[in-house]
Amino acid sequence: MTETLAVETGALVKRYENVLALAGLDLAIEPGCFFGLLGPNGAGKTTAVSILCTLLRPTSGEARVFGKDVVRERPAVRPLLGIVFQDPSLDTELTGRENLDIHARLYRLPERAARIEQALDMMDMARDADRGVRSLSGGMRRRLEIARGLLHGPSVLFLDEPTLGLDVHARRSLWQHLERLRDGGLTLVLTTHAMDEAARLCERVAILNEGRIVAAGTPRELCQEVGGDHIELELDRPEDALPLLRAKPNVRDVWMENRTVVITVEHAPTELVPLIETLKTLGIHAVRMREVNLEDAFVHFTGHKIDAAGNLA
Amino acid sequence: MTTFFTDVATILRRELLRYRHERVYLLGQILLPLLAVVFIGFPGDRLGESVDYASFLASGLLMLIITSGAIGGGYTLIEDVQRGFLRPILVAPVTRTSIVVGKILARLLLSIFIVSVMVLILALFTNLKLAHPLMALGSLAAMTFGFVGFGIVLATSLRRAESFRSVAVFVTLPLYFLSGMFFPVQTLPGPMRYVALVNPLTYGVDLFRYGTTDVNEIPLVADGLVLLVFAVLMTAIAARAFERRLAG
Ligand SMILES: Nc1ncnc2c1ncn2[C@@H]1O[C@H](COP(=O)(O)OP(=O)(O)OP(=O)(O)O)[C@@H](O)[C@H]1O
Ligand SMILES: [Mg+2]
Repeated sequence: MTETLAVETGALVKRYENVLALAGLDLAIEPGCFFGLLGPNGAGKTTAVSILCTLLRPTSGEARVFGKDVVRERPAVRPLLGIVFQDPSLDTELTGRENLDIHARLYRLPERAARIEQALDMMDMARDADRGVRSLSGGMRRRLEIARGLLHGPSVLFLDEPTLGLDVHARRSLWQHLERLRDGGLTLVLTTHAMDEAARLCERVAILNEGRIVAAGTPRELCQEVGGDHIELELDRPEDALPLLRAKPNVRDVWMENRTVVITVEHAPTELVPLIETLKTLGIHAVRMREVNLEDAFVHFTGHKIDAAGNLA
Repeated sequence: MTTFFTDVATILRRELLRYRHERVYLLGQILLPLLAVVFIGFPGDRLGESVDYASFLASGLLMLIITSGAIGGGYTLIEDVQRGFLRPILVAPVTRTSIVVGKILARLLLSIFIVSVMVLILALFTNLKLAHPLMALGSLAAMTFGFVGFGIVLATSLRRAESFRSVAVFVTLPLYFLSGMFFPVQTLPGPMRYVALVNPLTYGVDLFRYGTTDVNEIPLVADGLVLLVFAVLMTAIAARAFERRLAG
């Protein structure tokens, strides 16, 4: 007997007036998996999450959470869901604790006070729980929202770009908090366009582009599928290097990143010496080698470069 | 059924926690009708030959505040949904009906508060008084349920804010003028009187006026029956519209 999937969608389509946001999405997420739904802006991540959370009706196709249909069995699906929305959704007029208390009541939880305390502790928010949400920093609000999302012990937690707008420290501390949830058997569906985040947290990822899955697997599989190594060179005259390198048969791809020449080759250790031989007259300052990472794979599969804000360039 | 009431209580609790910070809004809700009564009621009193136009109009204006506030409340609810403010509640395992009813009850408590304060103030210089508090309360409740429901139905069928406003004005103005709010229904010319008699607001105004001035022109049983049907029907239709319009 096959185990029920935590999340399963089949040919899911969502059409807004004139935008095809999801063009036949097929997802299968195992229970207990930390799953990353990656994609550039407008790929359809939030749309997919909204449908799975019963907030949006699909145009066609099927979506199930733990075997329950998100359209026809909404009352059965809702208690299983926890969600942290992409944009803030706390009641700013209320304190943190009041926000959690309302949430606990909406889920009709027993022993509210104790559970709230526990959730606040887990997210390190106990100290600031009685402050008005309006006076909290963005990172604190985010932690509060996650505490709220976890309060009723959901089977699957959706995090829609949880670290958007957080500083480096807040991001790392949030990741650590999320790591701790791994042992509890929770299924996590994380949408992000921050590849370091996905690489750090997710066992499996799917890359969404223009409403379609263009690649899926473990981060390692995706990198292997793209294959190759990167060689980065800092040169006196990088412009002159480009035509030389493009002419070489073993160079798969070459581009400039911030005046550093980046070259993709099949196997860096064997290609390195001949490359340096070719370029030595151009003044080499530094040479670095690295394997293809998830960000390279993302760029490869979506055909775009993304900047820190998630915008296509 | 008990979960239904628990959920309604939770929605109500959230609304009341939010009102704490809306003092300016509450003050406005009270000051505005007060000024209206002072500026329209007293000059009108001197013009008309009816004995006590000021308290007649004061009770009518209070009803106007309550119904227009209720229609606005229904509209705001849908607007909040569209802006995504209610998402955390909408994903929770609570029925849409309990959300609607909880919101309406919060509005009703607000109305009771506004009316109580207003009647106390107006009692100082008109003949307004809490003659029959339960009757006034019944009318308030029916009008709030009915017209929040009306606002929800209107807002769910009209997409954009501008169209809501123009249609709301277009629909509500005749509703207000042909309701006995400003003039007794008996004084309306023939055909208009019939329109007034199919207007549920007429019965709300009549019952409320009985509650606050001890004067009425329609049998109270008729008031009660019409209001009950109106309130229940509008709430049910609104809850359905809310459920269907959501997750579009
Ligand atoms: N309510 C809406 N009405 C019309 N079009 C919409 C609506 N919501 C989203 N879209 C469109 O659907 C597409 C997918 O949007 P979605 O918000 O799902 O993307 P996303 O992957 O979450 O992007 P981001 O990374 O920016 O959050 C976009 O082209 C967007 O413009
Ligand atoms: Mg999004």
